[in-house]
Amino acid sequence: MPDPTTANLWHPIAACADTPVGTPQRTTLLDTPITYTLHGEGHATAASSSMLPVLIRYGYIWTSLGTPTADLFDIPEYAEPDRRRFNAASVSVHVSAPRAVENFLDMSHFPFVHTGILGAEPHTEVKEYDVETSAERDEVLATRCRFFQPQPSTAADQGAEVEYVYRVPHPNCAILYKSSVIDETRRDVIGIFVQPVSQERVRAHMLVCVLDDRSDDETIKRFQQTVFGQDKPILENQFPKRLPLDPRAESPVRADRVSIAYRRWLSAKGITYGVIPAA
Amino acid sequence: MITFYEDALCENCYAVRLLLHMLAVPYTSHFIELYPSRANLQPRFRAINPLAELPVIDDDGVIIAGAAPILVYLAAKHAPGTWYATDTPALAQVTHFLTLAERLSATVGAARRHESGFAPTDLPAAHTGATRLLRGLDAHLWFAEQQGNAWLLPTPHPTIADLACFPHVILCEEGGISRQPYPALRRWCDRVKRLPNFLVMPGVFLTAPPKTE
Amino acid sequence: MSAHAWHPIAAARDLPPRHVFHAKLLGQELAVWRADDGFINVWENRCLHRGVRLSIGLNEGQELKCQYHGWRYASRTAGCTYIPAHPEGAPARRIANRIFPVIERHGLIWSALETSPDDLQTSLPPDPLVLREIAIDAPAAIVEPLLAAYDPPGHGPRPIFFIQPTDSESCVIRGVVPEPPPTGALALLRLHDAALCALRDVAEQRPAA
Ligand code: FES
Ligand SMILES: [Fe+2]
Repeated sequence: MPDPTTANLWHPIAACADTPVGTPQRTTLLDTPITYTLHGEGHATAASSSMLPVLIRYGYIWTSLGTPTADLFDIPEYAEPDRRRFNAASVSVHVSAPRAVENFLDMSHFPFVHTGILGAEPHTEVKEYDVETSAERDEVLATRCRFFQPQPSTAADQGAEVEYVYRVPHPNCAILYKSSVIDETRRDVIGIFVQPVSQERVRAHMLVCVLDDRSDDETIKRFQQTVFGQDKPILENQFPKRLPLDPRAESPVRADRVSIAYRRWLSAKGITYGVIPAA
Repeated sequence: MITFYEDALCENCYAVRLLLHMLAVPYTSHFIELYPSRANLQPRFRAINPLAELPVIDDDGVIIAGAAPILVYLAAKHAPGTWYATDTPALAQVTHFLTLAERLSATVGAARRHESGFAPTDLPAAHTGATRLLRGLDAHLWFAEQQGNAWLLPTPHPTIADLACFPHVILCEEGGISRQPYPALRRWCDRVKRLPNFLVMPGVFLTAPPKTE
Repeated sequence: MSAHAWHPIAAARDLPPRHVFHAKLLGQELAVWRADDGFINVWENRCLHRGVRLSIGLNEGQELKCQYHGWRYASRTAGCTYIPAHPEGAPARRIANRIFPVIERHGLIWSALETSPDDLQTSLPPDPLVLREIAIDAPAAIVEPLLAAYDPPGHGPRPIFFIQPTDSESCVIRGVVPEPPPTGALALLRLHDAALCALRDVAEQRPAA
């Protein structure tokens, strides 16, 4: 049984754009088989043994096995009309949801896992950045994250030091804000919304919400799928598959401060699903 | 100029991409997303390949579909005698491994597509079939090494047989099939990765450069 | 099947230069690699940083490099020597991976899960003919009696067999022929291979193909 916090969350179960209208579909959430139908006109239904609450937001269908205590987090940029917004990928990965989220928050793997795209040796240093856990907004925030990238996005012709902000407004969802190469006053937004299929299996849905007037959707999708496809085998070779919350379980360094804050935040929330709780 | 219709995550496309790079043949790439949007089923692509399958190349009007035929076409055209064998027993051996690659795609590849959430399959059956093929391939390579051979064929140069089988073997763990019981296959993967102009795809890591004396 | 006993975990020729061998013994995964100076490292198959398998890492000759964040571990000590995210500072000394004892003998690599077992005692010659290992999806206890009844094909010399218990559900047969005939080694290897694959079919209760 999932812990109450996890049970009462909104969870993504599918991208609307990839769901045929009017035909019941099946998926699994928190070990529970779910049937859902997209009816069009921004309306969907979902059921397990009984009807479930449903929300359509950011192009995805969300549901909950419990009683959601809060509304879904806000992404104000999603409403800006000049952005390209779509689901870039929905990929199954044999790993826990918090491991997938933690990977998304990590810059130091860029030169090794996304070589030539999001990083390249010898530019491996992770400079000092700021992390805060906001009790009021109930989220983890990392700011001033700077990293040299050879090809930061599909709209970029050359390498640049890119500045990131990471937001974790939901235990299984994270959002990244990245300086836009088109308009330096605004930021590209990329979200990862992880659907916990079981404690050790997920479907990761990736939202892009970017300023890119040069590339077609296919090019942006291919870029994001390549990047995520590179993370997948790393995640599947990580042990244990559940995220250990005991601070002594693995060996973090300064570059991992956001991961330390994330693990602490999960602990404080009393989450036990997909993690190894601290003793 | 060759037009190559491919998907970044498709292992059969990867085999062709590897050969194009190793032969240094220029091409332009067309991205046809298989999953989840199934762009290969669109009329636009069916007009090119009625089977609606990837990979496809269009070499100035010569359209070839399927990994094995494309590998044969490119290697026979650009590198007969090295990548493509021309003598009688070797020709049969290449064909054997091209056929084996198709069977790997139907078992190992099916398991990968299943586990990635792309296309459901009978997973236990896929795993049983995969184990049989991978065991056979591992034994073949172990005996090849015993005889001083590095590749699937007893030739000093690798052939399209290696490139046809490699993507399935190197991505098998995404289908929940461990490579741990296949040490000869793991060593052969390292050798393929050290070939000039080798390139990775998502799911494939580089190996260390060889020891220099 | 003691954690204190020596078990073969690989053949010597499974460790060519710049390769990382993926072994398993009594449920413990191991990353096994030969450094350029010949030293054989048997390590726990987990990077200390974020738990990624080191068997997918890079054997760079004197160091093993993790695929995830590029941490490097030194041959022999398994101590972390370099953390690329912080290129300036030296890593804390306490970051060292778990290492297992190792002996290379009789064409095989031997290890034990607990340190300092007694010296490895066998009556084998130094350089026997090593058969191809046969990995079996059946526990060692099922394979043992089948091997005891093994009838050498062609009535040749009987190999000496060791069973490597990979975990409770599977094992590996490692055989060596102490005094191989001066010629025909390859044919002998093939004969035993075929016979052992047939034995595997029985052990796995799978009809022969
Ligand atoms: S997990 Fe190995 S370097 Fe981070
Ligand atoms: Fe990544």
